[in-house]
Amino acid sequence: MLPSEKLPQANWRTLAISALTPLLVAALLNLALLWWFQDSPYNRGFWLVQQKWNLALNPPAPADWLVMGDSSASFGVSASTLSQQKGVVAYNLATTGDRTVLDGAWLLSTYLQKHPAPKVVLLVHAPTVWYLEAQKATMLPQIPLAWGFWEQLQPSFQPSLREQWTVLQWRYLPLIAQNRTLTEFMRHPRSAFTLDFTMQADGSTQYLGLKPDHLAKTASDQIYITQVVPFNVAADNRAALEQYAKLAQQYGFQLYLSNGPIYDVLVQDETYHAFLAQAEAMLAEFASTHPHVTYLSQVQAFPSTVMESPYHPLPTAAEQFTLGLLAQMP
Amino acid sequence: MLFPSTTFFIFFPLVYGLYLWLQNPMWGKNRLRWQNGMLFVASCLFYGWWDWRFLLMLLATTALDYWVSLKIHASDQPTIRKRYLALSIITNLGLLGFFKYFNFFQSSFTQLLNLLGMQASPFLLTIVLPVGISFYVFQSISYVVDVYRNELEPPDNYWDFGLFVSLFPQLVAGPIMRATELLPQVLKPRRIDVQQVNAAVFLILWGYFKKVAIADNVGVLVERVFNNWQAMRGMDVALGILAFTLQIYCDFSGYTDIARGISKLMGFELMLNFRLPYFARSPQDFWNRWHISLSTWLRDYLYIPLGGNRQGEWKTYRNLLLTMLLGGLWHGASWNFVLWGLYHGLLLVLHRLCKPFLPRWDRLPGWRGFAIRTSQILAMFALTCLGWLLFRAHTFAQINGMLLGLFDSTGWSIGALTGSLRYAAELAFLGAPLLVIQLWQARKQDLLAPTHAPTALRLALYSALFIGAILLRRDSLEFIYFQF
Repeated sequence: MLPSEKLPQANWRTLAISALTPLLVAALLNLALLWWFQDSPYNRGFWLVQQKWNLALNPPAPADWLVMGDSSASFGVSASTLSQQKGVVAYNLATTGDRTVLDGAWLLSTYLQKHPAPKVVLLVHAPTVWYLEAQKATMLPQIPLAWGFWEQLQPSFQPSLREQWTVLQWRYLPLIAQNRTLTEFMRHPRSAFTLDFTMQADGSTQYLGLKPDHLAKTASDQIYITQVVPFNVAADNRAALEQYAKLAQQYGFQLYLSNGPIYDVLVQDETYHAFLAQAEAMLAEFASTHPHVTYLSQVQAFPSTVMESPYHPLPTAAEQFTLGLLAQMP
Repeated sequence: MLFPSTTFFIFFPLVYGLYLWLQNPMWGKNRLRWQNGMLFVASCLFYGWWDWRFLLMLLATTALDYWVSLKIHASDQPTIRKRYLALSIITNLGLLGFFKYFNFFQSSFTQLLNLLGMQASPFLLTIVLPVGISFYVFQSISYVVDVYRNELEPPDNYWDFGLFVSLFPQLVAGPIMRATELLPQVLKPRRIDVQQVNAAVFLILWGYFKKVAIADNVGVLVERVFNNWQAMRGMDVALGILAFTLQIYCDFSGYTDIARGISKLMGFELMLNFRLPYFARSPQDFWNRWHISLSTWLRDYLYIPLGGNRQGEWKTYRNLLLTMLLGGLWHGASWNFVLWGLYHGLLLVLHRLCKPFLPRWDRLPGWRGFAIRTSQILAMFALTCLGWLLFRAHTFAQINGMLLGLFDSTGWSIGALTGSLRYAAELAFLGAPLLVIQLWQARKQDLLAPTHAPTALRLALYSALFIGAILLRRDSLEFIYFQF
């Protein structure tokens, strides 16, 4: 006998309960997730970005020195070493490479609107960040400012309605926006919500262990990028760099540009080396044409024994890299 | 416009709100006309969202079929009626043939000539296949044939006929509705019944869950195996085939459930398209449960006109094979679909040949009967899975390679099995909700069994389906059956 459909007995009240209960349960779950996600490092990248923005908005004391840039700066430049060596208040506000140079420019502009200007800003990026186009809409949700904050960002940017909808989902509807993170958590409940790095009060981050397989794979990825992508500076990155220089002139701080720490195997690769040379030339040329801007030209490479990934040194190497930067400063 | 898309989530509430507003008695006698007009426009928008040129073609073919049906109905001369019928069938099949099969037959014919030693190069055109053409062409043909057979009168105006063909929930992937069933629903005022709406809530939730939570996720496992089939052995091949078996069912039946649910919300009743097909115990049983609207269409408009089973055993076998072969070809312009149709035709013929000699052990009482019936289900399921390999593979070499890989002993070693364990666990995780719900439906012999569950259980289930669909959704993939 074939199965058929037997209609259930129902009235409008039971129907309303059947239809609305899933919506209500989902709304409650979403609220619970919002509360839970407030401080949980459910997504390491997002968490890092939020922490850096929070530090920029509410620093314990006004900064003398600020470190901006991507994760090579976050893991590579030790704010505590800067403080000790120069006797200054230093914070590391560097975020991640996929947020490009633009995120730092937004962050610094916001910082300067709220706090006294620092004396020195150190901008450190990996060479393979300059060509990246900024995915602006995906960068906005992690910025912990009140709704409509994009109107304050410099270089300016007006998100479309669709992009604002994305921001809304990422900020207020984690059940929808972060479904992949949540399913990952359901599959691996032990590992999904743990950090494999630490963050200091001054914003510097530290990897504490080596990952040789990860290093080898990401290093070959980086070499591959330099094989297939000609060096260039994306329009948003160019605008962001100009914004840094403009702020340096406006607020009278010294802007230092540098490449981040690099895994020595990359520097030994011919294609990568050529790519790096173009990044160096670009930075040198930019510094020479802008007042208040200095390029720290020495490339610092480190062996696999102190690198977690091609641009992330362990703390000992980070200290060495920071000292190396200071040594180049006039 | 896809059901699981933001556009549809904006489109449908607007259309439904308007529909309910037009349901109000204040519109008097014109209520139905306005409602149908609005639904026709909404359906055109839904279809034109893919490509407005396809919409023009849909409107043109429906206009022709409507005109032809009026001519057939107005005439009592058999020759004239037959001519108009031929005009409609040739036009519809001609369009289908051109858009779907032109390049296929061109290249196949060229290959044949080359095999025979004659040099020829194919003359291929860049043809974009209009979405759902196979569905609405069949629906339109059945209407004209029914009018020709005097089983139906044409509606008074083109718009009502246009709505019958283009009603958006079922336009692009069925069910292929018969005019005798759907047209009366278009022509009479519809009642929105609380029991139907209650069933619709379950159908829509379950349909979305099957599509976005199960089908789209097992699709990743399918692609892993079928796109790298040369490297796959043993358990991996088995998992890939099993994953596709789940994917195609959840994808297609999920779409149908959503379509039927949405239709019920508007007071339309679309036919059942699936009756737990993987619980079938024989090939004949499978085709009573799988894509029912197509299998009954083929039965009524192809198998029976060919003579059905009324002209002796051999002609019955011939008719079965021919019907299934064309049914396979309906799915797409590729030899693997033909092979799949032929495979199912052969299964039907073999089953018909063996049936008189098979003991009816399944009728035994108690656990022995249960064990026999379960074995029959498992055996038919294995045969169905094998069929899906023919359906999903792109080339004969792939079919051959995957079959050899399936039985390659190295793929069943402890090391290989350990490597596949993660994918097996993933498949089990995704397939478990389907198995649980379907066992429930099969036990109760009721496809709406969950709607009869105690309130707390029902609400928990609905919430789990809703949240599961949100959490497990990927960037939505197109419905597989849109390409057919």
